[in-house]
Amino acid sequence: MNAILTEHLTRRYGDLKALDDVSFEVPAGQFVAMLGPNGAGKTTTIEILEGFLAPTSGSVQVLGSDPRRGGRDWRSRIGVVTQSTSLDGQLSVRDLLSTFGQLYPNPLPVAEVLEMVDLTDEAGVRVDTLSGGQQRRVDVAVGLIGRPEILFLDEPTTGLDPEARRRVWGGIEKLAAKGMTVLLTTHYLEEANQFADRVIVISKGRVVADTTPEELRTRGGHTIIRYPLPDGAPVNSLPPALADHLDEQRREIIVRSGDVNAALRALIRWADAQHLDLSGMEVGPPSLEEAYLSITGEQLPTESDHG
Amino acid sequence: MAELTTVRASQQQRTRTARLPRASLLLLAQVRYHFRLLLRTPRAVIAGVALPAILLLVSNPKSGNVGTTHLAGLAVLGLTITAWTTHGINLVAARESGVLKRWWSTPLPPWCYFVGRIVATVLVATLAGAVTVIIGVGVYHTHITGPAALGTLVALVVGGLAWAAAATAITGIIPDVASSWPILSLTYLPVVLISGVFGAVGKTHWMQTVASYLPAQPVIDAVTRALEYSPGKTLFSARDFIVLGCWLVGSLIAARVLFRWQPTRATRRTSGHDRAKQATAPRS
Repeated sequence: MNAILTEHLTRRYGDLKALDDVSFEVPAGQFVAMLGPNGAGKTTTIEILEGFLAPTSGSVQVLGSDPRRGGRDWRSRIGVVTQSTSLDGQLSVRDLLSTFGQLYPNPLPVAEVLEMVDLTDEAGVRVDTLSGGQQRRVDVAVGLIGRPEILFLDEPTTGLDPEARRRVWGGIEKLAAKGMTVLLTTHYLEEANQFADRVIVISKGRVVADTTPEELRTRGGHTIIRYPLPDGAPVNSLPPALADHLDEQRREIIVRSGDVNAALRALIRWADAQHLDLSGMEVGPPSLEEAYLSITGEQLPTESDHG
Repeated sequence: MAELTTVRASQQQRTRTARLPRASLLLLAQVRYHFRLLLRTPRAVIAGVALPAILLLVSNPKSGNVGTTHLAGLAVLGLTITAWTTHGINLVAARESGVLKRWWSTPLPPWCYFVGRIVATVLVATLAGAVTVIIGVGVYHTHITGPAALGTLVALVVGGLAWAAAATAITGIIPDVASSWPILSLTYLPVVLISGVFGAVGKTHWMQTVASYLPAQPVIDAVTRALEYSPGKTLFSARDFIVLGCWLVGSLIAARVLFRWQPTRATRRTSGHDRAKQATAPRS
């Protein structure tokens, strides 16, 4: 059974097509990551699925209902974590979760949700005195309290420092283990790689890839040899076959080649002749980021872009 | 097979719907929730309760008594600061920060959220007005009988409802938090000033007529009448309550039309499509 079914979704804002003929389905229990740069249409898609926004054309079904017409019963079956933290901060974490829990027919116990998001020790603390990362985890907890069949997570870790992000990921990992249907939008390929059964890549309002993280990675092209040059490595002595692959700015040799053996032999021979340590060398499939770039042709936002 | 699936789905839906919490219980929980939030909002307590009390104390340091109209005016000041300014600013802030959207995404009936929020505001606003009257009784020996106290309370509650409903409506045309204070004060201060919240002001005939149809003067008149009640006099004037009732009903209708759950200006980080989206996004 499909938890989500969209067919030919289009959403226009004046002359701008934010979504252009987006179709996909998500079977119940699947963890799907939606990737794409800023303005690609991820949030527009998720807001249509949550019922906040109507598509200009096309059809959408979430848990068998049109989200715009979903009543109380339908809303009790979904969990929503919006793009920015949205909480009344004057209450304690426990009080806030209890208040939201009362709205649902079969809520999760508050203690269980607190444990899932690693906030048990902060249960009695006022929400507005928590750090940004902790508040984001309270946000995720509010999305979970109703025991949703499907959870929408709209960039839950954007803007968080690495430690806070790691803690939110801890909570998401527990969700994934529970078999809940999750639709996660994210800028972080690492996030998608770690949790998702499937990756949908959106670029300029269109679905440009819909596959597993492993398969997406294979679309990045050839096997890659990456060798960060040790300090003092004499790049002038590189043989022409390797010199063409030198990234002077990053001080590394990156070879994307169909003939891995020949490139490896040349690199080892040169390193041996120059008495260079090869322990930093990596040989493997392209990263998810490289695959993503080859598909969308767009760079994902960097850490500094998120402020 | 398809029919069987449909039947199963509809049975499942009925079972789930039956288990949803009753709206009346949710409403009570919302009143309690928003009441607690307001009491933990310093602006509500300081501006709504403390300011009228301080004005009352500093404006009558020697005389030892206070006129009922002056006392009623300051009680209405506390009431309206809470029901208009605090409620309005808090509502805009909740919308802009995404809190309203968060509630909208839950199975809480939307009317429960608003009725709960308005009732909680009226409770705190009435409390603010009542504290001023109590200071008048305690410090300035204003005589008040049981029926007069009850009448004052009724006038404050009805006035609070009208003002809170009007504030809910006007938030629909306030674009963001930064604009909320200028817009709310611009629409508030002239009204309370010509209505005599700070005492009688020289008014032309047309200003008197206008003030009598605005929602401040009828509350002041109703509270004054209640405070001055004695056997043989009437406790309420129908006109005051008709004017306030019209404001209440009109504001609720306006709120139904104007109210927005989502911000007009997204505060999230944006670029490309999102920026264009903000410029052209229609009100939902």
